[in-house]
Amino acid sequence: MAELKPLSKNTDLPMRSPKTVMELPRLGCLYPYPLSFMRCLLRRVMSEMWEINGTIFNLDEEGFGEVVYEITTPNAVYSYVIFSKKLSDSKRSDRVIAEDWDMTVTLCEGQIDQDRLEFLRKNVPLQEKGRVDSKCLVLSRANKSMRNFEYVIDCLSNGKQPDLDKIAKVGYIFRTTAVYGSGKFGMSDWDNLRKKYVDFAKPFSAEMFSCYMIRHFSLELANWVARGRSPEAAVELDDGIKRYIGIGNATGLGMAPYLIKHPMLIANWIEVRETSLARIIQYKSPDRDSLGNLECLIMKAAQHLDEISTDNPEQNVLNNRAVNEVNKCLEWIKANNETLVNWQELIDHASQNYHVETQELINAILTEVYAKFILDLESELNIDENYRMQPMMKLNTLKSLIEKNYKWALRYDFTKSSSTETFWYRSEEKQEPRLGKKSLDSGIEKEMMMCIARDVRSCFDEICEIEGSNTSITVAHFAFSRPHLRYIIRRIQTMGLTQYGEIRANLLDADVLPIHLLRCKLSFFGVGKFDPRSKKWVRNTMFQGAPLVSDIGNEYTDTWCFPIRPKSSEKLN
Amino acid sequence: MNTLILGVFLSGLSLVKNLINISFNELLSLLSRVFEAVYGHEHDYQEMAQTVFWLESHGHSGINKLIEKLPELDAVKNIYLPPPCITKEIITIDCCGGSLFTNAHLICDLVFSETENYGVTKVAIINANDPYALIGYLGSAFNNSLSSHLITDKFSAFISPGSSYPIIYSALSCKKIEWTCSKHEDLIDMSHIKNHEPRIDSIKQKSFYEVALNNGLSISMLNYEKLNLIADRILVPSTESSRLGAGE
Repeated sequence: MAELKPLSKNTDLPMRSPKTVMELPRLGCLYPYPLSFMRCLLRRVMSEMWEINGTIFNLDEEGFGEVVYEITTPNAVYSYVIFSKKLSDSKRSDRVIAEDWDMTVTLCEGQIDQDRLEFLRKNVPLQEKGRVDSKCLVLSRANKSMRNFEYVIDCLSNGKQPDLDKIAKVGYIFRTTAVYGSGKFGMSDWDNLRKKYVDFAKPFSAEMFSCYMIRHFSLELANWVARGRSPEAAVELDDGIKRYIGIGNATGLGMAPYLIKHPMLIANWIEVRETSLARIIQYKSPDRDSLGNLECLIMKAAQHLDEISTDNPEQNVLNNRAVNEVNKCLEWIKANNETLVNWQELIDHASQNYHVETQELINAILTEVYAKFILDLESELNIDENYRMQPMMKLNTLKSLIEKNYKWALRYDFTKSSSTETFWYRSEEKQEPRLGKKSLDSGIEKEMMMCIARDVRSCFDEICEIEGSNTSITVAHFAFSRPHLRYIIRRIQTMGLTQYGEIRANLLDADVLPIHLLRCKLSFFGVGKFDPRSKKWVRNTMFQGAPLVSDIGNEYTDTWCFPIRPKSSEKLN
Repeated sequence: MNTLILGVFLSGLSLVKNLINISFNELLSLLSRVFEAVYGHEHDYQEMAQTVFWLESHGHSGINKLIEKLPELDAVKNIYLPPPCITKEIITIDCCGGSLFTNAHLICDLVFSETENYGVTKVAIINANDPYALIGYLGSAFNNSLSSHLITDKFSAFISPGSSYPIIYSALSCKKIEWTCSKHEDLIDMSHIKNHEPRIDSIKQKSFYEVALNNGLSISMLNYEKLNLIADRILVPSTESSRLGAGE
């Protein structure tokens, strides 16, 4: 039988249990940390000093037209191609089902000639309705944030810098609404990308780079349009403010099925994260320097959360409570800094006294304190996914595997109608994943396979039905006459080889909160400032506080986590 | 055909009208939706998709073969196999006239499991169509630790332990499918293929895969549309209220 190796040779690391870590509400409280994908990407961009130059800047005064940036890395040349157009306010939508956008983009291999540009011009603005090719790595689009874009242009064209209080409320001037990679619409497959384009061989690296470039373009566009409107009076955006402007993102249910479809990948990302924390607990002890860093980061994180502006009351409660609790934690650390001998004491204190949101915030801060100590784990983020059947496994072994790893799933009572009230389906509108209520909506017969807990239950029940008659038969014999169970059997077998296993939730429950799934994945991207618009979609901010393209080549400190409002035009990095 | 020529050939193909260039991810996803649309969750539709995908991505025209068979697959929903007849000498599996596109994985599970237990397994698969569906599984058996010899009326195939790709030979006159799977290569009777030239060797399959991974796969637009027509059956019509099911 194939074995997955633990990430650390030291198997005595104090890893948290799957029971603690894999509960969905906790996963929905994760914060970005040093191995989040956009942090990994920028460390590479900055350390390798990628060159990013505009080679075509063909925009009219209002910023409509085409732009091509050429990106030179130590390994290859890429082009980032942008089509910017006038869009009426009525057409501007964050939804996947939108048909038109302010900006459409692609990241592709090599330099761009006129023929290539023409091909991209015909296809990229169409997004899902176009076709690109395997030289394209990412296809994406973005819309202006109406709240901020016009305001920033107005200020700059009148010779003023925008008010930071206003910027702080949103944090970006453009917002991406979909970022596609991995072979969609004819693009390069992930397996091809990771072999051929080493610069983007880490998970979601090309997608994150695309978002970084949209941010870069949005800042250049603001300066361009302001200058076009008022050539004499316009000023350029201050660098400190530019760094504080990120790129917005709207994420909906489309992200949720990914987490269920790729449990090995998610389990691996969790394992890397937990290994980071366990390593710190095992090998690092509080001292003057680390305690000083920790205290500074706690204050920064508290301010960061305090500055988040959302009109979602639940998120405000979470943020306010986390601020209060980390401040209490800060007091506790100061009171105990002479006697604190290991970080487990801090973790224990947090788990006994604070809510899950605060516990995970403190864990993320600890990984920031020791970022350099865990960076080697970055190489472990990739994994080859294979959910292969192990047909010679005995049925009683499979049963034991379920009892050991899926006790959580067996606890749900699927005879209760509320346990299966929700169903997930794909709409004929761009195959958008949607949620339905069994008692209200049609489409249950076409539901998506999001029901892992229920399927495990079915499998377990069918094993129990034949128990006593012959449990020493192989899984192959069992599945031969029960092909409907084969998928869940190979999933149970495969996930049994991972340390963290499945996300523990019944996604069919009447009260399921898919937003936890979204935030879990977004934390691995490195996204912050969650602004839930409902339980089904969330706005958030990427790359806020990150270095600018013009900072490449300068000394880089990887400390832009928990971005906070700069004081006037102070530089953040 | 060497890799370079094959690459140019495939790229050129995509320029020809009525062909569409699609990525592996797109094809696998499309096939998965096709089988989900036909069989729902009553069968391992992802594995069925993988069966056809393997053939297509290794140069065995999986899509064309599936398209030929689709009307029949779509019409016959009951694809459950009767229990296999297992004796000391041979396992007999009656496919009742069905296609191996839908059941190859179940049969392979059984064969590999028995071989692991007993060292060697002889199988007769009767009343079965589309023996090609078995090819992709031969190399996946337990980290390539098993040796197999497959005889059908369309082709014969052999794989030795450690190899990822079977070698394909010409057909032998054989009304049923005969498959010998063994932990030890020397337990397999290879007299049928001795001195025969392979029709498709492992290098050719590997090259096709690598070039296709790099450039994408060119498939006929007509076939692509036929597959999508079936795949789209899993989609739910959109209404004003259903739009709220993904947010405002």
